[in-house]
Formats: sequence, structure tokens, C-alpha cells
Amino acid sequence: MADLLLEIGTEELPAGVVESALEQLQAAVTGRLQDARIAFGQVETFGTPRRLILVIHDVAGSQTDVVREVRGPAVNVAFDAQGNPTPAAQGFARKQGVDVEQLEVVHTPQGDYVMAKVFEQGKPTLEVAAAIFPEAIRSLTFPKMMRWGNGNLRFCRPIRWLLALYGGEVVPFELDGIHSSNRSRGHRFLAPEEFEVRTPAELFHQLHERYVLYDHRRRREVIREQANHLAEQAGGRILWDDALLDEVTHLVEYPTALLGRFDPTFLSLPEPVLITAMKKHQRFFAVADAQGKLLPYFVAVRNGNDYRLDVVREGNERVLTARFNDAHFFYERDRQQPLEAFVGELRRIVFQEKLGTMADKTARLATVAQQMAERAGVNPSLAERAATLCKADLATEVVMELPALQGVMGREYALLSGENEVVAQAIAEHYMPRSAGDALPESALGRLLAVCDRVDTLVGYVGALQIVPTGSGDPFGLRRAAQGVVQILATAEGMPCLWAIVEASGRAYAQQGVSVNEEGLRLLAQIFSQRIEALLEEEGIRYDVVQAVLAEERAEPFAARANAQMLNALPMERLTPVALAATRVRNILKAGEAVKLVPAAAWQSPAEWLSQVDVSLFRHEEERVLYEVAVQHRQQIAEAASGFRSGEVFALLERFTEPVNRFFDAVLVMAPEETMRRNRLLLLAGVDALYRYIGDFSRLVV
Amino acid sequence: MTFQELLLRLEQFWAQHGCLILQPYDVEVGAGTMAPGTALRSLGPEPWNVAYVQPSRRPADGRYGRNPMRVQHYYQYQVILKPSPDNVVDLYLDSLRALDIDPLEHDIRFVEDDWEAPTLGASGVGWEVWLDGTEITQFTYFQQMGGIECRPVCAEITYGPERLAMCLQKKDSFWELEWAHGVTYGEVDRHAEIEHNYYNFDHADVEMLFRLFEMFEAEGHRIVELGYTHPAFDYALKCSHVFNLLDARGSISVTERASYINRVRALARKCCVQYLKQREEMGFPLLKAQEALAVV
Repeated sequence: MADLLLEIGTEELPAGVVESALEQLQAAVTGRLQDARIAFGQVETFGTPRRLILVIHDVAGSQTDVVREVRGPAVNVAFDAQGNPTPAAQGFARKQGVDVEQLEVVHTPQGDYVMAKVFEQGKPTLEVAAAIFPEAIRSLTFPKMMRWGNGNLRFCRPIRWLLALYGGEVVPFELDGIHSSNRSRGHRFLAPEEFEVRTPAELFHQLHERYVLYDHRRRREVIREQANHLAEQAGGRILWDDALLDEVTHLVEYPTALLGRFDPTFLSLPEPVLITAMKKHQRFFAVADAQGKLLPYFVAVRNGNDYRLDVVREGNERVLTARFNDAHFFYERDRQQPLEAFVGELRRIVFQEKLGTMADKTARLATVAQQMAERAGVNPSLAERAATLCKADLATEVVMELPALQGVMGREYALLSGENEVVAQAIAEHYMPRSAGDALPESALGRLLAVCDRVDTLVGYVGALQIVPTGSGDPFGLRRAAQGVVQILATAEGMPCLWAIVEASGRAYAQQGVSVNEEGLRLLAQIFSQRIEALLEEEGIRYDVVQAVLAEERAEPFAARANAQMLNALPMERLTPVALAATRVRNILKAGEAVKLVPAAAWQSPAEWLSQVDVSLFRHEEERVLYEVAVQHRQQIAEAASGFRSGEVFALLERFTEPVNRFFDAVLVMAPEETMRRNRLLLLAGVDALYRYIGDFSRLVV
Repeated sequence: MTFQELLLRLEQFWAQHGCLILQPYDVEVGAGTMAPGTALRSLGPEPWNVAYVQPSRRPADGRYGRNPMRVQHYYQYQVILKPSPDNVVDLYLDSLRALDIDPLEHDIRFVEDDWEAPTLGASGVGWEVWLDGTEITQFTYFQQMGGIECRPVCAEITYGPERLAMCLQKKDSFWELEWAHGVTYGEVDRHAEIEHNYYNFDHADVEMLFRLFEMFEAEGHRIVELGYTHPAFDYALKCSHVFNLLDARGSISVTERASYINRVRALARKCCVQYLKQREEMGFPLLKAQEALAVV
């Protein structure tokens, strides 16, 4: 038992890749150790911009021995009539390294075969690791890979050293000309020279001495503590931003935070502009007072110690002043004209090559938002106004400089231009939710615009161009857009139906000469259903319930969620009888001949099905009863369903259980006369359509 | 340290480390990368270690001389090392030391920044290098040029000498930089800068520029077919500059933009492919000069 250590020394890795690379490295090495039958204990990983470290404790000295059973030729080939081994058997035995007498016979369904039991002695770990390490390193993938020098190896940045040890010995391997060794390096500036180590503990001790805080979790906390301390000195607190803290953590090996100042007159700029300029341009943390108001300070983190920190502070202050001067200049320029004046500039910004410019998108949005406004309970002219202005800030100088401020600046400039506050708020909110865990728009108009904007993007990319996100890739943010739509529509009451918006959006594209096609809409329906499925599963809804409520191709997020929550909460003694009755109806409609007589593909409302039923063809009391129950309740069910009162719909459907069961017990649906058969199937299709207000009950496990 | 001293020290440093010192290229380019000393020479197996100052023009970046660091004409100090040496980052840091920038007294950071030049069909992976928060260098490992994979890979180090000088001289604007003792950068370049800005944004003859683009493009294709790669490449550069002027004039709609970029790229790519073929037919002559061209 000894520790296995690998350190991949690189040139500065992008901040975003380190933790994923460590996870991949750990999985790649431990997976291969397991496959190689080498036992190991605890695993640790550490990363900095210049190194990926993997330590595996208590690794066995060699592979466990095994006896492998190798199947050879068939018995009748291996032995002659006298039972003597043939050359085939002798050859097989020789190849496996066993005596021919040691061959055994196995009985298999394909017949009897000879079999050799081959003993394999485990190889030493040092030797196995020497094969595993280069393979594991080659297996790592990054969003962008590169080659360097004369080499062929592809990695994220050039690899400059490989420290590989097992029990004090170098694990010997070569990777595209780079040889493993027992040497590492310290901080690039503070301790650049190479040094030798024998164990992980020695490496960690040396790195500690040589200005490398190798543990990224610890480094993050050190930065947090230092920054908090400095902000306190300035009488404020840090406005923490986790993404920024993560990035800074991976930009430095030895963090030293410093407090800088800027001219307080810059505080006249909108705070988001200052905070975003500090974050995006300089990776500075902003400092605010107890009320959350920005103070004229920042915290920067240096990659080094505190030697001549004043020089670093001065340089950082100077560059921030230049950035703020720029921002101030842009802000003043933008303010010289009303926000509306920028709408025309959107002709100069492409939305998508085949889908037109942002001006085209804005025109579509204005049409759709206005059409959908009343159903969302908002004033149509305000909706049109907000839609017209919502992308205008993309043409402003501040947003061109700092794209992260889109929406935020739109609100700012809208208010300065005297726009309605509701409009300004919607402009800011229509980008929400910006990520999976982000808040949803608070205003109804914000929600409407957020949904219409994303639906427009999806109808264009997927519906018209059939561009869909693949397994891991979503370069146009389509999956995220669909997720935003579903999150908003599934949880907010009083919103228009998803598919009404999709249709309106399709018409708006058609007016601009872009046509949406059936295949595209089918793909779009799939994407939406997948997002609804994910949302419901996240909320702990049973899998079969999710399948039941998403059975229709074009699912509605709000209805699906309401139905799913209702079904999920029902006791089985209520759910089961309804599900069984509904399934009886469904199954017979799915049968071969029924499909021909009553094509289910042609979706009709319950009323449409029932209006085709001819009561004069009824021969049984049970037919008449079921028909009457259906006719009597269909209106009520439709109303409850359109009000998303799922519980009420279900309670009404419970009244069908007995009539349905009696019907099936008494009536032969597939009667010899076709008119009779068809009439009965039409009645059942009407009942089925009523059940389907909730979903496909036959998918439920009851 | 004056602006000219800074450039001289870089010349001296890279000359001492085995680079050929080239002179600036005489066709308008948007960056040192576009000069044939980089764009063409980065292709193929021949070693190539060079350094040069490259005056660069980006018409749309001008601010009529009113912005302290946004200009349509500026300088780049360009270093190309092919193949990229293992100690390339250390060499770069030594070059900063040669400018009296001691990494221990400053904060030097390598921040991920991948690079792409659509008109050249070029892309690379690397960093922007920060000195106390100011971006002073673009550091790139070329992966593709003219759509052709770079093998071996070269390292491109592009210094922003004005920004470096701002840090060293503690000045807040290009214009205040000391070019030489007693003469400022503004005194040398600002007059021309302002005139060029008015020309680029307000007065350039759009009709003429469109005609020039067509003529340059046609001439480029005509002579590349005749086998004259370098003259043809000059026309690709001229097309690129005319395109940039039209862009600054706001005369190219977004929908046309991509097609103009594609046209420049198509010509540049033809030149790159032909250059590589010609060098191969010549037996890659600089392979023999392996040692003379080595970086030390």
C-alpha cells in the first residue's frame, strides 16, 4: 500500500476548466485502476491555473491475481473418436500456456467446448500506472483543445511537466515527448525553480513553502476572508458574486487581495454599470455600505505576495479610472437621444442570418406580444411598446461595451426617456430567468415578453430552420430558452397558452417570408415536452404520472403541471378505478379496426365526437347511460379544464367509472354491423377525449 | 522609458534571442498578424523566428483623437516563434524584465483569450496578459491559418507598446506618452489621427471604395492564378482594409457583411494554400537553416 500521485504541470489554464478537468482526471484514473483490479483508498484532487493534482491514497502494490476461463474449440473438434486431443486442442492449450491435460469441458447452449483456466499474475502497480496515466491524460476533453510546438498532443494549454510517483518511485511514462519525473515547480514568479519530491505530503509541504495554495477550495476561502477583511476596513462589505469568485480563484496560485479606490464622482453612473465594468473588465469585487449602496472602493486579487503591493494598487486604480471614463463617456452619449431612437439601429445587428436582424425580431415580438396581451391580462398597447423597445439597448454604446448589461440599461434608458414604468420594468425582466436557478419576471408584462422573446427564438431556430440542441451542445441557448418558457408558463397563472404563442409567432415569421414547417414544430414540441418533464421530475412527480400528462404531442406547461400535481397527490384507491376504466376505453380505440373506423389521429373535441353519435343506433341501456353521462358533463369538464381546476376535472371523470365498466360488461363494441361498431367507437372516442383533458391514464402504473 | 526606447529594447531583446528583426510591412493591415511575415510564414514546417513593429489600422476604432486609448492607427510589436519553444512563456517574461518590468513588483496574469481572424481564416488559443490590470499583450498559439492547420504550431506574441508605455510612464492617455525626450506621441501622431478619423467616418468616397474592393479582389484572383502569391496576398490585404473603411462609413449592411468577409477570406486562403505548395516544391528551403533560426 502506498500513495499514487500525478501532477500535470501546464501553462495557465482558463479559469473555467480546472474543476471539470480534475473531475475528469479522477474518473479516468480511478476507473482504469478498477478495471485493472488495483485496490485503492481515498482520492483527492487539487487545481491551480498551472497544475492539476491527483492523489490516490493506499493503492495496492499490484493487481489482484485472476484465473480467467478461456473457451476453446468444440469438444468434437478438440478430441478424436478415441478421445485423444487433436492438434486443434494442443494448439489452443499451448496458446493459453496450459497443459493439454488441464483442459476442461464446458456445457453451453451452443454445445460442449473445451476450456482452459488461465492463471494471470497481477502486474505491479508501478507498471500498470505507467500505462494508465498517459491514457487518462489523453482522455481529458476541454471546450477548446490545442496543439503546441512540434507536438501532436491535444490539451487545453501546453503541458510543461509531469510529476508521477508511486511509493516514492517515479511512475515512468512519456507523453508526446514529455517524460514523467519526480520534479515539480513552485509559483511562476516567486519560486520558479524546479524541486524534487518523493511523496504527496512532501509535494504539499514544498508547494506551501513555494507560494502555491494548491487547494482551490482553500484558495477560494482565503480570497473571501481577505476581501471581507479589506471591505470592513473601508467601512463596507463585498458584493459577492460567486461566478466572479470562482474565476478569480482560478486566476491565481497565491492570492493577495488589495483594496483600491476610485473617484467618488463616478458614483453618479448607474451602479450596475460600475459593478459590471469592475467585474467584466477587471475581475474586481465591488464594495457597498450596509444599505447596499456602492462605495468608491474595489478589491482586486493579485497573483503573488504583498511585495510592492502599492505599485499593483496604483496600476489597477489607473486602469479602472480609464474604464470608468469610457463608461461615463458612453453613458452620456447614449443619453443624448431617447431609447426609441436606437430601435432603428437594430437593423445593423444580426439575430440569425436566415431569420433577419434584431429589427426584424423586434417587429415580430411587437405583433405577437400585442396579440397575446389580453390573455396575459396586460394592456396591449403597453405590450407592443415594451416589445418594440426591449432590444433597443443592444445598439447603445454601454451595452455594446458591456453586453451583460442588456435589459438593465434598457430599463435605465427607458425611464430616462420618460417611458411608462411598467414598460421599463418589462424591458429589464424579459431576460429573466438568466440561468437555471434565477428568479422569474415579477410583472405580468415582463413574463409575457420573456416568453414571447424565447418562443420567437425557438420557432425561428427549431420551427423554421430545424436547428436543435444536441446531447451536450446547445450553442444557441435553445434548451435554456425552452426551459425559461416552461418555467414561466408552468408556474405563472393567467398566461396565454404556449401553443397559441407558438402559432402567433409562426404567423409573424410568415409575414416576413420565413416559413415554419411541420417537422420543425414536431421537434419544438419534443423540446418543450423534455423541459416540462425535467421540471416535473425535479418537483418529485412520479415518472408514470409525468408520462401520462405529457402524452399529447403539444403539451401545455401549466396544465401539465397542474394535472401532474393533482394525480401525484391522489390516493391509489381513487386513482386506480379511473385509470382502469380510462384504459379500457383507450385500448379498444387503439386496436386495429377501431383506428380505421375512428381515426384518433384526427383530434376532435369531446363535443365533436359526441355530436356524431347516433342515439337511434343504441341497443343497450348501458350505451344510453354512458352517452348521457358524457353529454351531461362535457361542458363542465371543459370549463374546469380550461380553468386548470384539475381536481374538479378528476372528480367529474370519477362519475364515468361505473358507466364505462357497465358498458364494457354489457356491450359488444365490435358488433358485426359496421354502423353499430362505428357508433359505439364514436361514443368511446368522445369519452376518451374527456379523459385526455388530464392525460393518458393508460400510462399510469396502477 | 520613452516609447521609442521601449521599441528599441524589444528589438534588442528578441534579436539577442535569435529572432530576425523584420521591418514593418508596407500595406495597410489591421494587425501584425496579417503581414505576410506572420500570415504566410506561419504555414508549413520551416522554422521562423522573427520580430517586427507593425503599424496597424482599424478605421472603425477611431474616436477623433478624443479617447485616451482608442485610435484607428497604432503600433503592434509582433513576435513569431515557430515552432513555439517549450520556454516561450519564460522568454516572454524575460522580455518584460528587459523593459524593467520585474514580475515580483507587479501583478502579471494570463487571462484566457482565444483569438480568431475571420478575414484570414485564422484562429488560435491563448491569453491576454495583464500588467496590474492593464492588457499589455496578446499571446496566441496559432492553430489555423487560411483554414490550414498549423504544423508545427507557432507562438505569436503581440505587445501593445502604447499600453506598455502607459504603465511604465504612468500616463493616462496615449497622447501624453513621451515618444522621445521632449516629444509626445500626440505631437507625432495626433494630427494624422484626427484627419484620418474624419476621412474614415465622414468623407471616404463610398462608391470609389466599393469599386476598389471589386478591382483589388479581381486583380488578386487573377495574379494568384498566374502563380504570384505575394502580390496576390497584398491585394487580399487591400481588400480587407477597404472593407474596414466601408464598415467605418456604415456602408455595409449586416447581411452583406458576412459575404464580404467570406470574399476576403477566399482570396487569402487561396494565397495561403498556394504559398504552402510553392514552399513544398522548393523543398522548404529554411529547414536547412534550422540552427541559424533557432531561438535561444
